Parts: sequence; C-alpha cells; structure tokens
Amino acid sequence: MTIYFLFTLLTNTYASDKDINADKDLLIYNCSSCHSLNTIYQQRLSEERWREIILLMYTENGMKKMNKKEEERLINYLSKNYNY
Amino acid sequence: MKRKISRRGFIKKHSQIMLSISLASYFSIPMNVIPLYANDSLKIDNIYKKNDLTILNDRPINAETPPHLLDDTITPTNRHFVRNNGIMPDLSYNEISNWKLRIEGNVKNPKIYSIKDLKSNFEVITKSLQLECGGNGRAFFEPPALGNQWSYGAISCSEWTGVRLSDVIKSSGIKPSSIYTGHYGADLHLSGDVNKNALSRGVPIKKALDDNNIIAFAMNNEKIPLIHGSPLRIICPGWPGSTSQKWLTKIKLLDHVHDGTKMTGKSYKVPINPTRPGEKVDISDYKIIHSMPIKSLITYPETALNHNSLKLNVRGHAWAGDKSVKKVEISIDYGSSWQLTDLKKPINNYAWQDWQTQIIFPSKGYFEIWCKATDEDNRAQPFDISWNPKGYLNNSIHRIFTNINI
Repeated sequence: MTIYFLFTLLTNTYASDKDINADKDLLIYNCSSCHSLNTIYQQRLSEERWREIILLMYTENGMKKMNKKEEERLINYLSKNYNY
Repeated sequence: MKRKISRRGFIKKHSQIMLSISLASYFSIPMNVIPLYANDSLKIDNIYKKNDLTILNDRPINAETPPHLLDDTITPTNRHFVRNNGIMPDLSYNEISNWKLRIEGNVKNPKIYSIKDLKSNFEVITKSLQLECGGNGRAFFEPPALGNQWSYGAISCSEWTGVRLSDVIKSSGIKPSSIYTGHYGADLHLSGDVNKNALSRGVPIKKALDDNNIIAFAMNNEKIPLIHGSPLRIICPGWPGSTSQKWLTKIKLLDHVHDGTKMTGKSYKVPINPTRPGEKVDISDYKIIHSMPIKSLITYPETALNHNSLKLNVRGHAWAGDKSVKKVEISIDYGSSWQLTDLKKPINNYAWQDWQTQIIFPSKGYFEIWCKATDEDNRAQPFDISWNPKGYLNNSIHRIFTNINI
C-alpha cells in the first residue's frame, strides 16, 4: 500500500511538472472546472470571437482572471484549434 | 425520486473497469466512502436511457434526437431531446414530495401551491405539445455561431399533463400593469455560484395567458424524469424551449420585460433588421424571439439508405410555432417541382402535424428528398438560413438522400 501511494505521488508530480506548460492545460484548468470541454470542442470561432467569449466568462460567469500572458496563450490556442 | 447507489453496488457494478485500471486504486478507497462518481454516474445514466440520442455535451447535459427516431406522433420520453443551461438539481425524495410553486410579483394575492394544491384547485389537462430549442439547426450556420451545435433534433411533441399556466397565474390576481412573466427553476449555474441562475426567462403576459400553456407534472402519463424538469415544469409550446422552465419553483408577474438570466444581452434574440452573414450587430438592434417559425422534418426513411423500389413511402411532421401548418410538399428534383403530401390535423392546438406521401421515382440513381412546409399565413420554409449572430431560428427545408437501386 505504501509503495502504491509513493508511486502515485511520484507519477502525479511528474505528470503535472511535465505538462504544466502545455497550452491545453490552460484550457483544462480555466474552463473545465465549470463545464465540459465538449462545450468548446463543438465550436468553430474566430480569434475575435474567442476573445469576446473569454471576456464574457470573466464578467458573466465568474471565471478567475488569468494573467495577460496566459490569457493570450489560451486565446491563441482556442483560435488555432477551434477556428472557422 | 433518485436512486442512491450503495458502496457495494458501486464496486459490483464498476469493479471490472476499476480492476482493469488499477487493482491498487480499487483497494485504496477507504471503507464506508462512496466514490463521488457513484452518484454522479446516475445523472449520466439518465442520458444512457435515451435511445441513441446524439450527446452534444455532458456538462451541462445536452442531447438531440436524429430525425428518423422522431417518427412517432407522440415523442416517447427516451427520444425526447435534452437541453440544459446549468447543472440539474440534486433533488431528494422529500424535496420532490414537498415541492412548492410561488406566484408573486406584481399581483394582489401572492400564492404558494404544492403540487397537490395545483391538482385540486385547477382543472387537470393533457395535451400533445411541440417544444423546440431556439438554437435547433445552429450547426449549419456559416459563419458558425457559438453554442450547442444542434442539427435537426432539438424538437419534440410529447404528451404533457398538468394545469393551465393561465389559471394558476390568474388566481393570484394579476395587476393590470403586468406585462411580462419571469420563470425560476431549481437548476444551478455552471459556476456553482448560488447567487446566479442557470436560466430565468419569461414571456409577454398575452402569451402567458394563452390556454395552451401547461404547468406540467407528468410527461407521457408518467412522472416527469429529473432530466426533463421533475417534479414541475412549464410547457410554453411554439416558443423557444427556454421559456418552458424546468424544475419550476417560482413565477413572477412583472410590470417590465423580465431581466433574468438569458433574457438580456443577445440570448434568445435576433437582429431587428436582416443581417449580412458574419455582420456585427449593435446590442440595441436585437429583439426577443417570440414564436418559432414554420418547419418540418422527414422522419421516414432515414437519410443515406439505399432502397430497391421505385416506390417509396415517406413521412414526417410539420409545425409552425403559434401558427398552424397549411401544407407540406416534397421535391425529388432539387426544388424544381413539388408534390403535395397528405397532411393530418394536429391532435390539439400546438401539436405538430403528421404528413405522409408516396414517391414514385422516375429511374434508379441518387436522389435528394426535400421537405417544405407552409404555414397558415403562406410563409414557407426557405431553402437557406436567415443568418443571425447567435444561430437561432434555422427553419430551412429538411433534406435527406437515398440511392434507388433496381
């Protein structure tokens, strides 16, 4: 049992360290606490629209404000992958 | 009523999967702790009872019915689309048994009714009523619109039993200055913020007083399932489904247009003036959607199937929001010629209307079958979408295709 716990602890730490910089993590951390990512996977929207939507999430839906750098990275990731 | 799953039951049900994931993690769940997933999965099970629906989203749960599964005149519960704006409430047996509906706001005598009170104070009626999501057909918008990408199947016509909305609100002595209703439900905002509503829409008083709206406690002669708004919901047929509040707790009479969640901004609104696709429209140039437009579906045959006879029976339904359907035509030559179908009268006002006909194909080959309905005011379904920024009211003609092999 102890070995198992140590093992999971180690692998979890390793995984989060490794992926922390991935843009998709920004999506997971900032969006999927409230709604399924299927909400996003369905969309095909321009960068301008994604920018508006992030703003709307802040003002209307209680999304925690990201720092400017992360915000730009997320908008860029969304418009690159879920674009029209 | 919600079934609770026991720890033993959970382990029994899921042990195979869990074992295959990790034997160690299976044994690491402390005794007497029921994994959260156990009861959450019951909510998800709600959706698996749905026969072959297309799941668009799992949180919030949204699912639509492929057209060929909407063939029944009365939509069975397991084929009824699911539209949620928020998180379904977690209701205990007690909460459901002691459900209260408040009628308040701009009224002389605010009321609180239990479901039993509603049944004893007002006439109980049963009606088949069409219910369509305002965004049905959004998936075909170009440029695309934000939201669930509904294709054809966010439409239903089930049988609802309840009391008239008009009888209930009138009993509170509506003040003459009331112009709108505001509907409130027990679902939760996605963010989990209890001060926010997931959805709270309403209708002008004239629509609210229409005899065809129901405060329903039964769907297809059974208690309403949780996923469809148990134990009490509004059915406001012919208007965007969002006016048919689920898990209904309160109706407010208002001397102003309701300003609840998704009444403001651009929600359930379209531009006042026709709009070039992709055009930005100023927020002040939008109007609230009232009646849904004329529309139809081919529910038999299923699209993309081969047939080996020159004769083919086709059928479906047509509906027109607040209006009635005057005729339904089909075309097998890309709209060059149209054939009138046999159109039935609706079961009651606001039920969709069945149509059917037989096609005789001139030859073998690839054919599209197009279906076009026309309402009592001679407004027919268009070929293309009248584009609007939020992707509402797509009532373009339904097209299926077939290969005739002889």
